[in-house]
Amino acid sequence: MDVFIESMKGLWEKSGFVNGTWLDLVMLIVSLVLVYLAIAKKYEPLLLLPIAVGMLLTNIPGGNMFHPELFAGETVDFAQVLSSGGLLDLLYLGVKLQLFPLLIFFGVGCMTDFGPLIANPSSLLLGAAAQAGIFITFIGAFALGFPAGEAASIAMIGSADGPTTIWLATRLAPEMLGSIAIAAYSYMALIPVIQPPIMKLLTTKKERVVRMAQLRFVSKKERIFFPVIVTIIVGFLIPDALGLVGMLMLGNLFKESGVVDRLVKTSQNELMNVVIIMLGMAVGATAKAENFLNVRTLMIIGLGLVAFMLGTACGVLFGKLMCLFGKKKTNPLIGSAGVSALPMAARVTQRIGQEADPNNHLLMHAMGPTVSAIIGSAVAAGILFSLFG
Amino acid sequence: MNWSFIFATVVTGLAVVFAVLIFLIVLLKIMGRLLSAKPRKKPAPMQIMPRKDSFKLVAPARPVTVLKPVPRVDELQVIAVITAAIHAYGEQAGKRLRIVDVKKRELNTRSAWGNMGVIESMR
Repeated sequence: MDVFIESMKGLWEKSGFVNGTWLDLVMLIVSLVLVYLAIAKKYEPLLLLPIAVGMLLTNIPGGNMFHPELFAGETVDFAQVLSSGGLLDLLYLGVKLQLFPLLIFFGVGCMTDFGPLIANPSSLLLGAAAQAGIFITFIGAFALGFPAGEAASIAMIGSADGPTTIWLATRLAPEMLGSIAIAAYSYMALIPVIQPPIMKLLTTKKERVVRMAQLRFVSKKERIFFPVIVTIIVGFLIPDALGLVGMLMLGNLFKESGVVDRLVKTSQNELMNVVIIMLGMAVGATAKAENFLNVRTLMIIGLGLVAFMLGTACGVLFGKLMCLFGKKKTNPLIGSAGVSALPMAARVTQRIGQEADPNNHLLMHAMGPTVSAIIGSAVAAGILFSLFG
Repeated sequence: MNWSFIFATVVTGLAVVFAVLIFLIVLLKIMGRLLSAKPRKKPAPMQIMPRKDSFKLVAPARPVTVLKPVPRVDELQVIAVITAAIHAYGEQAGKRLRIVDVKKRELNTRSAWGNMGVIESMR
């Protein structure tokens, strides 16, 4: 009987009920809220659900699934991670070594049609203009007391590009990775709510009904040359962005070549799915109470929203400039698609355009700025890393 | 780190992003001129049979009914994408098609005989 009682006592002392604190409890509630948002509200469930589960696992007291101290220094002791790390430590290696964001970019490249951008290269300007939101928010974050590297990582939320945001945050502000990733994916899910009021506020009815000319046909040769040219040019100009842009374009070259269908299908489906699960769980694991439950997280969430709104506004305003001074007719609404949330931002543009004129179809025109924003945000991330990395 | 460095970062960052993308625009325009396909011959106008049970295709002169009923944002976006695709297809085929109404229908509400009738009439 004594043995039984001693065993039960030992189990109780090891249990989360004894070792947990109220902070752990709050984190569990936050993770359950995210689970709810992912399942019931369908807020980017493909990523938010794995993030929420990673967060849940890492915050159960006594679970020891993730050990941030293993990754705290400048260098990582891989032998120690492999010998004493838990599941989430092993998965986090993929984030720490930049493996997962780059593989996701490869899959995105396999799924992206750059045809609208090749047909209308001027849409690259809208993709560039929307990046202004990142740089303006960077000033705001710095003014609020964040060091430059952290301010850059927070501002990158405005790119609306999850893998790029994670890529930069892992390098410049790893301890804030969880908060930044959660804010980024939450706002991406809220694009249909955040963008329309800004789009309507900054445009007149007359501008919203502008009809754009049908995009020209893009030949297969152009589609194949495009990723090669972009890789070489961006690689030479911004070597720090080569990882992101190179993988994106390599994936697109696979798709457009038409000779590796099996690899393309695998990259679009199985590879992407596996990497998303691992990336999401690893990112969620970094959201521990000591990193997450503080005023800085609230500031990150606020600044992320500002970055998103500024990116949208800058895109629309630049679209107005193109509408006024451009040779071709441009509907300013497509500027809002200059944030790289693919394909949500383009769909929102189509919807708002149709509200003004049911026969105006802006979807394909908006795809140009959206895909160019993927390139633009990767270039911006490369610049910020080269300055603060 | 002082403010002048921060402002320099912002100006440099934006300038470099624009410079890289403008350089790409120039290259894409050159590539377009060198590699773009010659305009394809306009295909003969296609005869499109209107279906009674889904949506109507009408002449463009008529006023347009906005999509209705409005169920959810997700569904609206799907409808917007489908209408855009039909519009693009119509332009390629030399016709201007418009969706004037969208109705929600329950699947498989017809009887087996009704289904057979539809299949027969669509052959």
